[in-house]
Amino acid sequence: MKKLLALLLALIMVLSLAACGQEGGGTQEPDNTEDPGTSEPDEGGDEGGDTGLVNFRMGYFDTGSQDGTSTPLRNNLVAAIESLGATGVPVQPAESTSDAYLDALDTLLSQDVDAVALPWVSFMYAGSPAAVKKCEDAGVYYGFYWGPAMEDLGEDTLSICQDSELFLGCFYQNETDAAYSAMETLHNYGCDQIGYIGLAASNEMQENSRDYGCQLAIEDFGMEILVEQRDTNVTLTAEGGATTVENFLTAYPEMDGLIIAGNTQFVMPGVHQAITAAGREDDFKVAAIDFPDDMATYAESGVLVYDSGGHVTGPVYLTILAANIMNGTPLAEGGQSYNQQYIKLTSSEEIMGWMEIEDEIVYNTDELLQCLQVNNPDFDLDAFVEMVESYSYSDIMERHHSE
Amino acid sequence: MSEQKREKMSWQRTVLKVYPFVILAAVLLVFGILTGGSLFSSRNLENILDQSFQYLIGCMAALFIFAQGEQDFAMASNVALSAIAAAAVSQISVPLALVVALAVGLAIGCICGGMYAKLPIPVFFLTMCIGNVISGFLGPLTNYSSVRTPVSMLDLDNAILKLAVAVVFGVIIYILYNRTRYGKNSRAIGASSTVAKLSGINLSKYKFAAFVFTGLAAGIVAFFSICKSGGASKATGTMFHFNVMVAMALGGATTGGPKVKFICAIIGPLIISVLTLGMNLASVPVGMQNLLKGALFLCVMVLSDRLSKFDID
Repeated sequence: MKKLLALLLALIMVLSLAACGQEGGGTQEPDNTEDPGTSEPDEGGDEGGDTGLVNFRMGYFDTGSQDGTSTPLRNNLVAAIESLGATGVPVQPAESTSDAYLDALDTLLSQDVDAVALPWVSFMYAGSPAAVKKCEDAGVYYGFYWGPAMEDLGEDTLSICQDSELFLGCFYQNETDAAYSAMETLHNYGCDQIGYIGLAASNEMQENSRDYGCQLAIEDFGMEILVEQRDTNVTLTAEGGATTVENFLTAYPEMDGLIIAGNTQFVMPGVHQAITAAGREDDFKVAAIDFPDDMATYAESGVLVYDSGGHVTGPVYLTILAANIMNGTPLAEGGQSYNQQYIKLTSSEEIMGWMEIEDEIVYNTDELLQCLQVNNPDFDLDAFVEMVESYSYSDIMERHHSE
Repeated sequence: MSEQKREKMSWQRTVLKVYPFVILAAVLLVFGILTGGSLFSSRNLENILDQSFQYLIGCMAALFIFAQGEQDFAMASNVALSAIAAAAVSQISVPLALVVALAVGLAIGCICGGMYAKLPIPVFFLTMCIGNVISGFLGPLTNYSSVRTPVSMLDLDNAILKLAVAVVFGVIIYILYNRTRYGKNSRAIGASSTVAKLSGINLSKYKFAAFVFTGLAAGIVAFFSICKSGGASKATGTMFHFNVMVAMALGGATTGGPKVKFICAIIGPLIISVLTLGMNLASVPVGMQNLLKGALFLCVMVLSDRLSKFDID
């Protein structure tokens, strides 16, 4: 029986190889693709249908998560890829570990992608040199989003990136400023006795910078953090958020504000429920980093008065840089840091306003096509940097709702 | 027993024995076709091997514990601690990092095995508690940061080297499991520890040794993990023990005990790797991937549960 099974298995593998065997290439080619791409990125891809643009394969990571950050990030990226005549190649990491992301990167590279957008925060310091090395070995253009500025990439990663022709750049947010602004807004609302819900204690870039921003605000405004909750066993569920706030309010009745410096999308429903259940909507305010779902509800009740998020355009910018290269008009020689701003909403009214446009694609097809030098010779690196740095709520309103 | 009933038991036992092969064959066939054959490109075969490696080592080492009807819930924490220790000394010497990874892994394995052998605590709670103690210790140990290795260590993340290690480790485990008294007695303990004890088997010795293997495996996995990712943190090895359990179940060892075959430890990791890679290559919608994995696992568990009562020698 075992021999029979072994033979059957071998037969199936051989038949599959014989019938279907071909190197590389993805499988489900979208309509705008004539060919499964190329393994030689510096020679470009194929003419992308009637747009006249070079079709190339843009790899990206998709965790499948549906929340106020992941969903718009995916939607904006897919829209940009389609607008710029490229083909999107998604991959789902098996887990949220550095190793799993590296496995997923291997999968992407095996599909002959020409460029890949790397979420730096998922590789962290330890995994980023390996990710960079894999891209370099494969000859694939790459860049980071949700990361630090280049100088904070780490010595090993930086040493590979800074001399590389394949490195597109680093899109980072100012985490210190986001946390500082959150605390400042709470202070402006008269809240100085603060509770803290955040990421697990760490000396890594993101957590450390946010803590530093809080610390600066405490010194500048005479605020006080009474108690912290950083246990990810608690801060990854709405129930954990509710329990945390209930405990905070019981132990510190004088507490009048809460900063959520991470995992906002998970804890916010519970936090809001606990505050309204305690009848503290009027004298207890929340400031958060990262947009949760259903922000309008929290703002409407007057609880949520600040949120910074909307950092969903990094992969779009990387796609623009890659598209310009693939079309023979690179915007920059080598990669550099780009300060992609958070969208900062500093009142309940602003949050309500944002909710009316939250599902909009940030850059429409016409705008994206103007980001290619082949279409718009005036679009150079300075124009690109200006575009990245001007990203904000008012920028979107001006471009799409000026009438 | 009637002839009819015997025949019924026969086909049910056959299904129970062959389903892992059928799943692997089906996964290879389906995704081989859906990916237009690119699943079998040399690069993707290398990816399958690379992504299976840690679970192949983990599953093969866990065979003895599974055969004894138990599981090691401290493996993930053991991998993390071994990787952090190895990464810390890797700046001094890469061979020393290997030695440290194996030593720490073995030490944790010995602690688990020693306590399992001597204390009347269910192994589930024992290893889970040890795992939690180690996890709690990892944050302060690393100052909540990643511990990085020299970039040159990334060159050791080599498919041929991993294949060689997996083959050597596999041959040793196969001989121990199938050709020695140690493997036979481990299975006897899984069948009935009381009978095994009355038969003169030194339970403590066998229980202890089972965890030595998982400790050794944790050290190997930890070393290759830092070679792959360029460092370690408290998140290294997250869910490793759980993934080993899933792989063993898909490989045909859903309940553990004396029926666990060596081949379970080979087939299971391959199924998971081919499935994960195949779904990504075939552009299966991301939300659907977890659903399919969960459905397959559920089907296997239900199938093996319904048929296990017929698996009587």
